[in-house]
Amino acid sequence: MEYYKRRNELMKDIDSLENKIDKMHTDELGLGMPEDYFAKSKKDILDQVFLENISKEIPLYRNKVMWFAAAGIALIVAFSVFKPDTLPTINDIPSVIADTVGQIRNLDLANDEFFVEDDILVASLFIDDSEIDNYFDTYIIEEVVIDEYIDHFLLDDLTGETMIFY
Amino acid sequence: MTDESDFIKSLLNQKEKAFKKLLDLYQKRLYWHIRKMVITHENANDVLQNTFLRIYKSLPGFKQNSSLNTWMFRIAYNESLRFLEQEKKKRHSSIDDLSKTYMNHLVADTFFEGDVAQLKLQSVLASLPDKDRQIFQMKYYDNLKFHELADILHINQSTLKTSYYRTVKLIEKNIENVELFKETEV
Repeated sequence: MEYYKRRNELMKDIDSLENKIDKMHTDELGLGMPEDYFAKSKKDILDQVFLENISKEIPLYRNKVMWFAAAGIALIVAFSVFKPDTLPTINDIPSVIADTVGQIRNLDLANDEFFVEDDILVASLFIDDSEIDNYFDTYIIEEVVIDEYIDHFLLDDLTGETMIFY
Repeated sequence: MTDESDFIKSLLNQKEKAFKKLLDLYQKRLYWHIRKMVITHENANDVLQNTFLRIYKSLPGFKQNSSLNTWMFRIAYNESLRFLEQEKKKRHSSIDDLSKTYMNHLVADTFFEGDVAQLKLQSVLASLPDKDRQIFQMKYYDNLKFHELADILHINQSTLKTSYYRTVKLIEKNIENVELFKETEV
């Protein structure tokens, strides 16, 4: 009982302080704002804080998978452009990845983001390691990989703690 | 005190309900604090959103070395400074130059509804050095205590008191003689 009484008194104090502060800003300084601003702003802030955090809560392993997948895409797309003969034919590979290779050849990667995570890595296993090494030495587009790395890791870190001081 | 500890615990656990409560308690006060720093409503709205986002992200690192109130005001103050720095870079000018255009920004703000008396007071405030103006506004309008100001601004309390009382005297002296502001080219 005592707790609720104290809490109500505290809320009254806060309301009264808020009213006093509001009045000083509007009456003495002439500052105004749109109607219902605080209610709208509260909703915007909650949306921003909670929706953004839900969308950002991607497990780290998924970021890593995305990075490797991006490297895989860069590699395979580049193979299909510069050395198309090195990709296996549909008849040479197990049916489980036939669709993947088909999609790679049709450059239809952007249509399915889960394709990127799962199938591309499987498909990349069917390219010989020596071909990959040779290709890295000759054609690798480093920027693509670096950009992906920056997008998925460094920018996330930068949005963290860069305060002036706390 | 148990209430506050429980509340902080809920916040540290990133509970949505606790964060809503925090918004209810601080949204207005932080808005007014930011508004006086960045002047226009539109800018204050952006900085307020960034402030609460920053508060939410920084909550796990809140060590409770200062009160929640002081900690949040410090974040709002820093976010406002960060905004002013960005403005300075955009305009290739110094924060001092921005302060010179204080009145231009204020009068250009759709949500400034000041009459002659309010314009006079704003003109006197605009003529103050930035730090003195901030100290005065945070003490007088934001209702912060000197020890809280000392924590937020990292300035010792005697310096703050000297600045505050000197500013009060200056305002009293100048308010009658101030020339009414006329908008100029920025």
